[in-house]
Amino acid sequence: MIEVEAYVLLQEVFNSVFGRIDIIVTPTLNARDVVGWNSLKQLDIIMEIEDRLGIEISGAKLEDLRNVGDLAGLVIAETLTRSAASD
Amino acid sequence: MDVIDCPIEDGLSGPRVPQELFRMAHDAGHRGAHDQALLIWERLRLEAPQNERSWIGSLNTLFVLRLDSQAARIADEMERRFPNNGFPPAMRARLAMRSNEWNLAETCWRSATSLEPSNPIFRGGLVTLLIHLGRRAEAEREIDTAPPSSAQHSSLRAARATLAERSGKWSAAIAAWQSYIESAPDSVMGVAGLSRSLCGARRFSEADNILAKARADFPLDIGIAVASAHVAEASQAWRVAQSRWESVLRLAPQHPTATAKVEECKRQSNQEKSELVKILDKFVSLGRNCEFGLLQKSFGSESPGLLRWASTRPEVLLQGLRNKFARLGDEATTEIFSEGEEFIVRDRCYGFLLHTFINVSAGSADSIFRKQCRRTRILVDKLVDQLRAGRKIFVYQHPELNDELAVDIYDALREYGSGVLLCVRTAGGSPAGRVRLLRPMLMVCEIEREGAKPDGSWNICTENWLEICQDAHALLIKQEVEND
Repeated sequence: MIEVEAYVLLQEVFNSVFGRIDIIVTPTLNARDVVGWNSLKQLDIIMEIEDRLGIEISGAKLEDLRNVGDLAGLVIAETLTRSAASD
Repeated sequence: MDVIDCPIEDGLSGPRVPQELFRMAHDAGHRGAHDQALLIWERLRLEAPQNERSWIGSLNTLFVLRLDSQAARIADEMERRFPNNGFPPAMRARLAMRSNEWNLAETCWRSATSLEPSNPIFRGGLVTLLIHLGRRAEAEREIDTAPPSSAQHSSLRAARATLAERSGKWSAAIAAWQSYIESAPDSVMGVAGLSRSLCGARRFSEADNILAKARADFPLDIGIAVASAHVAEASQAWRVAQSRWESVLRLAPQHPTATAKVEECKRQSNQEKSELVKILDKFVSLGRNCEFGLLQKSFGSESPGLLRWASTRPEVLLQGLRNKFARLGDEATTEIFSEGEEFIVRDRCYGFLLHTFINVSAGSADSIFRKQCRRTRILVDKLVDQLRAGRKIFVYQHPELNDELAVDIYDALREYGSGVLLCVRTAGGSPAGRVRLLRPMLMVCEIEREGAKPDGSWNICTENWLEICQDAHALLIKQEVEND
């Protein structure tokens, strides 16, 4: 998955988790910018990503997620790992 | 202007004035163009002074525009002209409430209801006042004794909703505001009330969605703008809250609290970069309750954690640590129940109790149960990884934690890696002490008192906690330097 695809996916994830379409995901977007984005919502975002990609993200990887850019990095890394495993 | 006769539709006496102007005035009000609405109402009032509707329209608009002295003067004039109409005392009551003159407000509401006992708007106003004064039983009585013809009126629905809201019964408040909105779909008060109740139930996204639609429908409405700012603030989306309070100021430059709110949001928004938050991010709560999580949250330290919102007795924590929290989050050993308005997860393996912060009105227990089990498993994974990585300071607070138990927890924790344990106990009348080492990476200290109050509310010793965290962090750095 390339970066732009990760952001398209994350846009869909945010639309679904927050139930709205007016949040525009950008690399610097973080909890201070979105109403309702707290520590528990963060888990919902992770679970939604897992569901959409059919993967399991280790809880260990949640440590350094500070913004959407970090989430995009995680999505790209996870899909690369999955591709490598299936090859 | 031509005064016309038309069929009586609204029960008001007097000759009719052109309905077109009434419609225009109402439309302008609904759009939030209150200045324009006032011009039309004033024209109607001056040209058709015998019609009560134009007086009421003018008064309501003056009130919205916060032109209080003008509203008071016109209320006096209206009373002289229509001595049996309850609206003038009702307007005085609203003005008195705005200036915190509660006794006067009560007298005026009672005067309005005695003039028009079956008017649900006046009764609703009286009930709202009684609720505000904390006289909930009287408020309930007023609702219960309303004439049947008015019991389902939107004002009394609003009063019921407010009563539920003030009692913290969020599910009931949400249902009551939804019922109110059905009866008064154009009222922004209902949307604001519903959003407050959804916030109370921690359903921030839903509250914000409702307000986003209302902002599109009523872009100039100050009530919606304030409610939107409150939702952002309640969910601690500080940058959003700042921009929304700035919008409030643009709409109402004289708003009594908006300027201070903008400053507060700026302060909160900048806090994420502060050293203090970076220090707080280094700590992970092991319980025994939500106190440390609340402290972190209040400073914007928002990392998800398994035991951040958990109840963990020492023996439960020990058992969990010794067993690597195995099976925690398994559907077979987990159950969900409601406590008050919230779903709580109980783990039967160890005995952990975990907050979900999900309101019982938010969905079926079954779907929430599965979601919570999944959340818990992710968080177990994260905690075990943090314990192994050993880069964090794990905090456990218990009022009566003795050294022996602290060492037991420390030994269990050190089985994972090189993590640091900070045990915090209550000073018990003696002054809170400095953080000291009981073992190389086992810190202990006393705090002035516990933050949890018997009634379920919190009064956290924030300054004491911050001293402890800074002290523990400094001690850790000193230890690391010495070890190097």
